[in-house]
Parts: sequence; structure tokens; C-alpha cells
Amino acid sequence: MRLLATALILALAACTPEIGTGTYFCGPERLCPPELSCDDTSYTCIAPSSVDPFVCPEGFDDTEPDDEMSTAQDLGELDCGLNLLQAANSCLQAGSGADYYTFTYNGNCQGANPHLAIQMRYPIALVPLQLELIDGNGTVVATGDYCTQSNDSSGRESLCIDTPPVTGTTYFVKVSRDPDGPDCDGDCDFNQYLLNIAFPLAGS
Amino acid sequence: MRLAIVPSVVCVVLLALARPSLAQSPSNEQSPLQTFNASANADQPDYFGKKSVPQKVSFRQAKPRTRRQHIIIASLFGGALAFGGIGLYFHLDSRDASNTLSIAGGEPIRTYDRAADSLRDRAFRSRTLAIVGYSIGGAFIAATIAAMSMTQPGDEIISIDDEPAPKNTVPVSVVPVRGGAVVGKAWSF
Repeated sequence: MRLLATALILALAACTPEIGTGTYFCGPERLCPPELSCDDTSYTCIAPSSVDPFVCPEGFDDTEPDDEMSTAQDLGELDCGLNLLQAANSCLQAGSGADYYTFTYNGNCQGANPHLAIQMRYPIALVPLQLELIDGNGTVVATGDYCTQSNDSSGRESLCIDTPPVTGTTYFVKVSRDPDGPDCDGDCDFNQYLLNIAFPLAGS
Repeated sequence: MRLAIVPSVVCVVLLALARPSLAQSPSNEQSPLQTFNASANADQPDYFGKKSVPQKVSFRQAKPRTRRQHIIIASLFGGALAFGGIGLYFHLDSRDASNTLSIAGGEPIRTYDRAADSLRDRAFRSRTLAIVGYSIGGAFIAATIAAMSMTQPGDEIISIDDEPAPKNTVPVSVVPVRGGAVVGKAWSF
């Protein structure tokens, strides 16, 4: 009888999820197992005693101010088949506005499918971001669609824009908060992101 | 063959009628020869010269439970099996969910999203249900044991006397003979 009780206790012990610290990325709105807390900077679930407050990546404010179209970070001219911006690590602090990037396209690139490929990735733990492509007149040409792979387990969401550019146009890329996105009731109204702007001549 | 048996049967019947003592001999469902010998030599010394003394044989036998008691015990045991099965089902469900979710250590490899949170809730909910199921199943097992103990009917002592069979019994005899057998039965009027 005692053996049976011991076996039962041991068997039931295997019915408790064992989640080690730092083994999970935080879910939306800093979602973590109850015994862990979300570290805003690494957006991983860790022991509550080790959690640090959110800090933007080093050097993120070198391009500030870039909160308006008139003060947008100038990336230059778009070259055929080249990457304009690769894995730029930037940040939206609490209370700050949007980030703007600008570039022009004057060429006439030839290819099977010359198109702008803009991708932004950001941790889903904090406030969701949105991505817009705006022409020189201030008209929104395209907005970012969710393009996160179904098997992506990096704790990040991806937004993508794929559109053919028009020659002689100045473009602006705007990164801002999703006004409808959850922000932990204002407690996680900040985020970091990686931005890629490429101009492939083929592919989709 | 049938023609040979019929006269033999008739013969034995006639013999029995002619000898009432044979018809009234005790029957202990033995062979007819033994029956005859037992009847004829009941008061005679046996082969070893010892006189047959009637003996009383006693043995202990468990009394059967009543049908109602059997139903109660079976129902309790059935309840134990049912709740044990429910506990096992939720136990395995909880274990699967826990194994899916558990990561002991290392670099982050998954996102703790709503689905993971639901899986964790399921693991704990099934764990609780497993404990409840096992507990109730255990209570039913205890109740089954208690019911078996409480309804223990005890033993009874059965005695069999080695007395001669009632004298009005009539033996049926089958005597093997060469090429067949003789079947006989005796009646007295």
C-alpha cells in the first residue's frame, strides 16, 4: 500500500510542467508562466529577481530626432538589387512618437520582378508595431502585413511590405505603435525592432 | 446387440423381484457389485479383518454471500475501476501536456504564447482531476475491502455420517459383461 502511494506521488509529480528560467520568450503583453517574469530587454521569461527594466539598444538615438517626415533618417538612393538597410536595430521608447526613414528611387531597374521588400521584426512581448510606406505626398502606399512563419519560435512578430517602386519617387518608411495593439494597459508601451529594406529584382 | 441386452435386463428385473433383499440394499451410487457386497456384508469384517464402524466426517466450508451483498461489492469495485480509469485518463493527459511544455534549461527555444498558457492550464487542471479521480477510486477500493470484510459470512461445519443409505433406495446397476453390459433396476411393490 505504501509502495502504491509512493508510485502514485511520483507519477503525479511528472504531471507538473517544468519550465526553466530563460527557456521561453515572453508572449503577448509579457505573458510568462506565473513563477517567472518577463525581462523587457531580452523578452524572455526569467526569475523575477533577475528582471531588468526596458532599455533601448545602444546607439539607437544617434539618428534622433526622426519622429516626423521632415526629420526622417535619410538612407540615400535605392540601388538596383541591393539592400538599403540591413538588420537595423532601433527602438520606440515610452512616450516617443514614430520613427521615419526616407530614400529615393531614381533608377529604372530591369528584372523579372523588381520590388521593394521591407521587413520589420519586433518582440511580441511588448506593444505591437506597425509599418507603413508613404510617398512624397504623404499618401500611404502600402502597410505591413503579418508575415511571421508558422514555425517561428523566436518570440518576434514580422511585418512585410512587397511593392514595386515608382521611378523618381521619394519614399518614407514609418514605424509606429499599433494604436489598436495591447500595451499592458500602458505599462509596456515601448518596443525595439529590426528593420530591413531591400530591393530585389526577382522573386516574390 | 439390442436383442441380447433385452433378455438380460428382463433377467435382472426378475432376479430383483425374486430377491427383495437385493432391491432394498443401500445405494451409495457405486457399482452394482459394490452395492451388492456392501449390502450383503454390511456387518461383516472387511478384507483386513476390521469390522466396519460408522464414522462421522466433518469439514469447514465458507458460507456464500447473498446476492445483494455480491451486487454491493461488485458495484463498489466497479466504481473503483471507473474512477481509477478517469484518474488515469487525466493523469496521462496532464503528463502529455507537461511533457510538451517542459524545458529544463538552456536558450529560449519557444514563445510562451496563449496556446502555451492554455496548455499549462490544461496540465494543472488534468492533474487536479487525476488526483480527484484517484482519490475517489481509492475510496471505492477501501469501501470494497470494507464491504467484503463486513459481509464476511463466516464458515459452516458440514458433517457427513457414514451411515447406510436409506433402505428404500433402489440401485441402478450396470454390469459389464463380455461383449456388452447388463443394465438392471429393481422395484419393490
